[in-house]
Amino acid sequence: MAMATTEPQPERAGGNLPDLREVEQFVYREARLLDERRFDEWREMFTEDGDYWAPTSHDQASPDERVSLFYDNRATMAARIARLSNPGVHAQLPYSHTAHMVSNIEIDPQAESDREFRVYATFFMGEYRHTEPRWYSGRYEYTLRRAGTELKIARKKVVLVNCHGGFTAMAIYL
Amino acid sequence: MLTQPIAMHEPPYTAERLRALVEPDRVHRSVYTDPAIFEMEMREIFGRAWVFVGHESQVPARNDFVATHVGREALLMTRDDEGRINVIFNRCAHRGVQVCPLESGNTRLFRCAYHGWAYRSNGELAAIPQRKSYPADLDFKSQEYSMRRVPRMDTYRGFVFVSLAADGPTLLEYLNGITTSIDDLVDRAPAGEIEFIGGVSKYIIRANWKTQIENGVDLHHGSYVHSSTLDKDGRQFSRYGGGPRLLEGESRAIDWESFGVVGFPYGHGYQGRPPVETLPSGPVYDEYVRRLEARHGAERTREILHYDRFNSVIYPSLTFQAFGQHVRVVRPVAVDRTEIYVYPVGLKGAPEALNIGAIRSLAATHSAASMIQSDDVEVFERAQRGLAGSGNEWVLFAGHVGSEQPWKEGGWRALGTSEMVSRIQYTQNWISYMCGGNGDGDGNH
Repeated sequence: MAMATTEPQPERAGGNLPDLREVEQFVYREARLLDERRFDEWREMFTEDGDYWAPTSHDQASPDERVSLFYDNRATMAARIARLSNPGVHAQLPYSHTAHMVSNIEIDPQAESDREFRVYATFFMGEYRHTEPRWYSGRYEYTLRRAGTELKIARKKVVLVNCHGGFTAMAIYL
Repeated sequence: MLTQPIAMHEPPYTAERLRALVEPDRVHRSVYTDPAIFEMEMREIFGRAWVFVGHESQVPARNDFVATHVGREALLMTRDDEGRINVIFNRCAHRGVQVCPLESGNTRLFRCAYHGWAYRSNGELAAIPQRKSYPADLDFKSQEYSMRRVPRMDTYRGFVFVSLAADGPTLLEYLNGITTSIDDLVDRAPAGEIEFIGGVSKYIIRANWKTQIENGVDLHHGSYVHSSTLDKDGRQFSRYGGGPRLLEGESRAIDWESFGVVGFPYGHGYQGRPPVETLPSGPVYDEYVRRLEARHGAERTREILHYDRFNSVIYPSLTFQAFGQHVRVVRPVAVDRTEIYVYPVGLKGAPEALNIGAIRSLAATHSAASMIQSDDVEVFERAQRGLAGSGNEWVLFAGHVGSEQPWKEGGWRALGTSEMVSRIQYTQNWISYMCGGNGDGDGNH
């Protein structure tokens, strides 16, 4: 097993390759902001043209090809997040407690620089409101973009293992 | 701990007991909660009514198939070698094994995994291994040894319906005035046909199937259930154009009465047009209108685009929106569990961007994770929990009793917050079916 190094990765020929430690910390922070219901800060992790997409099919090419569970651009995220703090959001009364566990984080080996690259991960999310706990699992595919010194999410794609199945109401991002 | 449902110890529901559950303006809570009632509904309602099973566009090519259901009956809708639509039971004639485990596909032969019996795409038996092991006089050409066809199948403008009863009203008699809602959807396609596009989105409600059907003709709930989706203007976040306005000022619910609700014999109905002030516009919509006009002329196009209804319901399992371009199928699973399949609808001949808009918008409005439907689901599930308690035995549908007037399309029209359609469903259809009638309201009650 490769030991995580605390040293920054040396710059390699061909430009700045993404640093796995930085990416891991970024992805863990993203999960924690959701679990802490810090949705406005979570939205700020996305680029201005960023989106969040959960398809209903494992081989779905785009949100235009088939219907999606979620397909939020920044404006839709703002509407969804505003709704979550509205007292009339029945589907979140009581609200969900969640734990997102993210693992198998891998930078796409095709990445040529840290300007824009893909990251693959698997996740497991437990959710509890009041009747019974619910469990979700699947794969994340992030498109990350370097903006100055920061990383931003250009797309977070969430493919649930059962994305083509039926779901009870979901109010929280996976 | 009580582990068996109480109904197991009680005699089956007699007609007299059933009639005691339905009063002119209220029904007993057990119609939503008693597993014995649910079993009867599957047999007496889903076993006899005309039930939507799919759209012809789901099986465009020969030997295409799609899995479907009537209540809990697993069926396949196929297009056979000769291009005809068939609806067959997904069951091998030999040992009863489900023949096809897939949701959709294309095959000339369905082959049972157990002993290799093979069936053509119209359900007829094609081959049996070890024919000689069976008695020579078994007539393998008879329907008994096929994947059986449903007793009756018929279509209306591409919508495929089946009845599991050999006798009863024809499909057109059954649909009566609600055909105007199917026309309202299909006529909006410049090519005069719709198609199911963009797959299917499925949500589950841990509630009785009737809560979803009743919601489909309930205009009034929007101001309350969906209040969290309203902006300062009282307008729902933009579904299309300006979006419907649900509140006036800060808090006053819009006055729904003038929008009306329409009900028909056999329990169908539709909600009148909600208060949308701004109809769609922009280059894509303009191109769409131009294509309609090229086919129909300006006057007929105005008629087609006239927006007079929001959601329509075909009892017992179909709910759809012409303007929102989607169809939902309500599939009862258990007394307190229901699956809803949501299909985006493409208008053939319309600009692609218009149909893509229909696919995209369902993620915000009707998926399990949508901002609108998730609140409906929560309320349906709270209803199921509330009805489990015995504090009050009745569910009230008394909204505007007596306001209904005969309507030009047949049936009746009532004020927008009337609960008339649910009253029709219970006092005419539900009780008639459950007591052995045809759901036509003049049978046995």
